[in-house]
Amino acid sequence: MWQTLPEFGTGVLYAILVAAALTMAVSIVAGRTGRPRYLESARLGAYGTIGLVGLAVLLLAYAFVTHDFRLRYVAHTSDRSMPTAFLITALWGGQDGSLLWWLFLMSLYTGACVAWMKGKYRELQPYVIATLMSVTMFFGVLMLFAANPFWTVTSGARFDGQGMNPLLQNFYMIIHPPSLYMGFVGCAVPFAFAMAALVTGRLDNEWIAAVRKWMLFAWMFLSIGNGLGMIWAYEELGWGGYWAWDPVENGACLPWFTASAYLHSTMTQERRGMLKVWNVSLICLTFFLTIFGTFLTRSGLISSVHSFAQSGIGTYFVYFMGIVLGVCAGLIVYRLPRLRSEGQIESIASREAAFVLNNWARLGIAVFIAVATVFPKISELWGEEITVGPPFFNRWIVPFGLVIFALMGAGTLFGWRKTSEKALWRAFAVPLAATALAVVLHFAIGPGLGFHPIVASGRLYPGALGEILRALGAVLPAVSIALCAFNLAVIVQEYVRGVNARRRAHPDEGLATALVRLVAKARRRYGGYIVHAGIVLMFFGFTGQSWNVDKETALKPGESYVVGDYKLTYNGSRMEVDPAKRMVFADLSVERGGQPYGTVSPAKFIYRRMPESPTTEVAMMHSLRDDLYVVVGVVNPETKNATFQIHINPLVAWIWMGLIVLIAGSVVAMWPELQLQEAGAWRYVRALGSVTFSMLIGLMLAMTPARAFAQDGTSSLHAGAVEMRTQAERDIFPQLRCTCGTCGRLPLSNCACSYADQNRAEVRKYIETGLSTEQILEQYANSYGANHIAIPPNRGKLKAIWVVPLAVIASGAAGAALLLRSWKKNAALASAGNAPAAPAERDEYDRRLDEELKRLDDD
Amino acid sequence: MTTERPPAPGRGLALGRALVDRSTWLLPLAVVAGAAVLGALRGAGAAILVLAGGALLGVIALLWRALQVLLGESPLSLEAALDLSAATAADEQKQAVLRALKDLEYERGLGKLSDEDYRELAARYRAEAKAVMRSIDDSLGPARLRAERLIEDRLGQKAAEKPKKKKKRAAAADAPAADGATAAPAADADAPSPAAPDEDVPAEPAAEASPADAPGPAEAAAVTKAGEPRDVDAPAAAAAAPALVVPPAAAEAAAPPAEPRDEKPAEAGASAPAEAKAACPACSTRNDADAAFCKACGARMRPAPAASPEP
Repeated sequence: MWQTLPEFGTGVLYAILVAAALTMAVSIVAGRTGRPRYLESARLGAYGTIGLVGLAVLLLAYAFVTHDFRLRYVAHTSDRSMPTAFLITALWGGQDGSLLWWLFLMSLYTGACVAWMKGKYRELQPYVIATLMSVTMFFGVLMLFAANPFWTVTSGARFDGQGMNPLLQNFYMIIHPPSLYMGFVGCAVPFAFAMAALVTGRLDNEWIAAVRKWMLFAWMFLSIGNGLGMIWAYEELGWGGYWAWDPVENGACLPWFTASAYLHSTMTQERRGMLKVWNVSLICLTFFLTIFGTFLTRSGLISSVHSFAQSGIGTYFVYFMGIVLGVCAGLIVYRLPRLRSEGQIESIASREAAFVLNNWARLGIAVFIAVATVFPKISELWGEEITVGPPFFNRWIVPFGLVIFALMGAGTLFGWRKTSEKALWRAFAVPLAATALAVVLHFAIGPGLGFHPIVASGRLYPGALGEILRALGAVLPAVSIALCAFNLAVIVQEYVRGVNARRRAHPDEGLATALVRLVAKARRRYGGYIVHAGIVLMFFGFTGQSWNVDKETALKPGESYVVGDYKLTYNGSRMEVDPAKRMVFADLSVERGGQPYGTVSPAKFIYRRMPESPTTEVAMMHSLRDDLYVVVGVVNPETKNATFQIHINPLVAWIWMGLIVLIAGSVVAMWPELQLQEAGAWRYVRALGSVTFSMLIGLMLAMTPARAFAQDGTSSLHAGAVEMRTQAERDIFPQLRCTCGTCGRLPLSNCACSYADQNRAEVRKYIETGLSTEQILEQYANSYGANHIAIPPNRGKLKAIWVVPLAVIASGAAGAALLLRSWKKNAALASAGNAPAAPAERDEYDRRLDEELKRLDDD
Repeated sequence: MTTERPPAPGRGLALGRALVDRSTWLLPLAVVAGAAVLGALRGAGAAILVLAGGALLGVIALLWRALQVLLGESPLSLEAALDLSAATAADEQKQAVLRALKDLEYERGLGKLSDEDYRELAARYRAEAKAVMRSIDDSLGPARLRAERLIEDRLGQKAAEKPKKKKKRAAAADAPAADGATAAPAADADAPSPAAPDEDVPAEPAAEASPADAPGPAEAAAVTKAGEPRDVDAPAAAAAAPALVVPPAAAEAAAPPAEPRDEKPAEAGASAPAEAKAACPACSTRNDADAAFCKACGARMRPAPAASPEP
C-alpha cells in the first residue's frame, strides 16, 4: 500500500464523494416514500461515509508519521526532525489538511447527530442526513479538485520536508482556529434540521426543540474560539489590544451574532409559535456566514493580517454560497404560507417584543460589520481603494454594542405575553436604582481611582458626524459602567426572586438547596443568566480600554520610572542563546504602591531563520485592576541603555473571567433534562456521561495544539509594540497603514517592520511642521494611495459604508415596529373576540391536564 | 441487538447472527486493541495502519449492510423498525402548551404577572391544551379504524388466496401474537408502533398516533401514507398488533384471549370505534369500551361477570 498511498488516498476521497452522494439519494428517497428500510439504509450509509472520512485522515496521518514526502502537503508542513506528536498536529496545519480536518470534524458532528436521531424525528431525519451529506459532498469536491492533501510533489519525493516555522509554534495561536472550526462546523447540524423542516413542512416546535442544544454547543465553541483569538492577540501579538477588527476576525464573529440572535428568538417560537420565518432564516444565515467566514479566510479576497496561502478554492466557495442562498431562499418562500405565526403579541411590554428588539440590534451590528468588512471590495467597483481599520470599527460599533447590552438586561425583566405596568415598575426599580447608584459612585470615586467617567476621545471625521461619534466615545465609560451595574442588578434580582418564589412553594428548602434546585429546574433560563453575567464581566473589561495608559521611556541600568502606581527599576540586560535564536532580555523590578511587586523581563528574540525581523516578547503582570504590559524597544549592547514602552491596560483580566463564566453558563444551559419516567439511575449516569464526554471531546479537539495554518506568511509577526511619543502620534498612527505590502493591513501603531519605521519618521516630520491631522492624512494618501488610510474618508460614495448599514438598521427598526403593531392589533381583535372568557366547566380533560402539569413539575 | 422475532430455526444460524450483532462493538475494540499493541511494539506508523485497516473494514461492513437493507436482502430488525417511529407533532405541541402553562405559573410566582392576567392567560392556554389533547384523541380513531380495515382486508385476501394453508397460517399468527402480548407491557413507556419488521411499511402514520395516548399505535403503523395496503403478511401483521382483530379465518385456530392479561393488549384488542369509550369509575380516564381494567389506575372497569368470555 505504501507504494501507492497517494493514489489510494485520492481514491478514498472519491469514495467519500460517491458514498455521500449515494447516501443523500437514498435518504431523499426515504423521505419521499417514508419507507423505514430506506431510512435505515441511509443511516448506515452516513456512518459508512463518516468511516471513509476517518480513513482518509488516518491515511494522511500515516503519511506524516512515515515521512512520505512524495505528498506535497506532507513535504510542505513537516520535516524529519519533528516529533510524532507534532507530526500529527501538522495534519491540519496547512490549507489542504485543514479542509480534511474540517470535514472530519463535520463527520463527527454528523455521526453524533445520526446516532442521536435514532428513534426520533422520523420525518425530519432523512432530510437532515441528506443536507449533511450534501455539505460533505461540497468538501469532497473541494478537496478532490482544488485542495487535495494527497497530491504528489511534481518533482518527486524530497529527502526532507520544509517543516514548520518555529515562530508559529505558540500555544494560543495554535488553539484558537480549531476551536472556531468546532463552532463553525457545528452550525451545519442546526442548518440540516432547518432544511429538513422546510422540505417536510414540519415547521412547528419539533425541529426547534431538536436544534436547541446543537446550536448552543456550536455557539459556545464560537465564543471560545473568538475569545481564544482575543487572548492570543493580547498575550502574544504584543501591541496591547485584543481585537483588531481584521476581516478574518469579523468573519468569525458574524455567525456568533446571528447564532446568539437565534438562541433568543427560538424561545419566542417555542413558547408562542411566533417568528417562525425569522428563526429559519437566522439558522440559514448563520450557516451561510460560517461558509462566508471561511471564504473570507481562505480566498484572500480582502487583505488581512491573517495572511493565507492563496489558492483557487475561493471560486468553489462562491458557488457553494450561491447554492446555499438560493436553496434557502427558495424553500423559505415556498413555505411562507406555513410559516405564519400562531401566536399574537399581547402587549408591547412583553418578552417577545423585547426579543424582537434584541434580534434587530444584533442583526444590525452584524450587518454593519459585514458591510464594513467587504466595503474595500465594494468600493473597488467604482475604482476607489480604501481600507477600513480598527479606529473606524471602534467608533461605530461601540454604540451598537451598548444598545444590545442595555436590551440584554431589560429584556429579561419582561414576562412572556404581557407585563403589567405595576409589575414592570417593580421589576425595573432595583436595577434602575443600582444604575443610578453606579453613576453617582463612578462620578464621585472614579476619577480618584483613575477611572474617569468622561474621557478624551479623538475625532474620526471632521464635521458634525465626527463630533457626534466623538461625544459618544467620550461618555462611553460612564454609560458602559452604568449598564454593567444595571445588568448585574437584573441578574441578581432574577435569582433572588426565583429563590424566594421557590422557597415560598417549598418552605422546607434551605437557601442553597433552593438555589440549586431552581437552577436545575430551569437550566436554560438560569444558565442563560449566567452567560449574561459573563457578558457583563466582558463589557466591564472592554470598558477598561478607555483608561489605558501608554508611556515611553529610555532608561540606564539602575534608573527608575513611575507610571500610575507602578515604579519600574531597570536592572540591566542579559543575553541567552538556544539553537534556534538569540534572546536579549531586559530585567526590571516592579514596585506597586511602594511594595515590591515582582520582576518583568521583556525581550527581543532574534531567530536564526529570520535575523532581519527580531520578535518582540512582551512581559506582563496581571491583576484584577490592570495589567502592566512592558515592551523593550532597543537595547544598546555596550551601554546597556534601553528604551521601553509601558502600557497599563485596566480591567483586561475581567474579559477572560467573563469568558470562563460564559462557558460555564452555556454548560449549565446545555445540561440534559430528564423526564421522570426515564430517570432511572442508569439513564442519569448515561446522560451525565454523554454530556461530560462530548464536552471533553469538544474541548480536547478545540485545545489540540494545531498550528494556525493561516499564519503561513509573516504578517502578524510584524505586529508589535511601536514607539509613540506624543498624543498626536497616538491619534494619527492608528489611522495610517504600513506600506511594506507584506503585512496585510497593519496600522502604523502596530506594525513593527522597518518600512513602518520609515513611515512613522515621515509622519513625525509632518507633525513637527504643524500640519493638522486631516492634512497629514491627505499627504499620506497622496504619497501612497488612499487605501493606506485606515479610515475610509467620509465623502462621496464612500459614505455608503455607514449610510447603507444605518439604512438597513433603520428599515429593520421600521419593520420590527410594523410587526409589533400588527401583532398588537391582532391581539386587540383576538381579545375583543375572547374577552368574556368565562371559565369553562371542568371536564375530564382538565383532570388529565392537571395531572400532566403535575408530572412536568415533578421531573 | 436482539429482536422480538420468533427464534431462527437453526442454532448455528443464531450463533452466527449473534456474532454479527456483537461485531458492532467487537470489531472496533479489536482494532483499537491491535493498534495499541502494535503501536507499542512497532511505533505510531503501525498503529495508524491498523486503525486505518479497521476503518476500512468497518466502512465496507457498513456500506455492505446499507446496500443489503436498501435492496431488501436483509430483514430490518424489529428493534430498528421500532426506532424509526416518531413522536407526533401534536404531542410536541401539547408539550409546548404545557410548558407555557408552567411558565405562567412561574412568572406569577416571580411577580412578573398579575393574578388577573394569570387567570385570563391560563384559561386561554388551558383551553388550547385541551383542544390539542382532544385532537390527539380524535385523530387516533380514524387511523385505527383504517388500520384495522386494512389488516382485515389483507387477512381476508390471504385467506381467500390460500384456503389450504389456512390452518397453518392461523397457527403461525398465534405464536407471535402471544409473543407480542407479553412483550407489549415491557415496551410500554416508550413503545411506539411495533411495526411489522420484515415489511416495507412506512412509519408515516406515527404522525397520527401518539405513543403516550394512542391506544394502539401498532395498528396505525400498518397504514400506508396514501392509505393503501402494502405488502403486509398476515402473521407479521398479527404480530404487530397482538390480538388486534379476530378475523374469521384466524379465529378458528387462535382463540381470542378470554380476558386481556393487561391494559395494553386490552386496548389493542379494541376493535370498536374510538368514539365508544368508557370512563374509569375510579379515575375517569377514558378507556376503550371493552377494557376490563383502567389503563391509568388499574381499577376494574365493569363488574366481573361482564368480563367472562363469551360462549
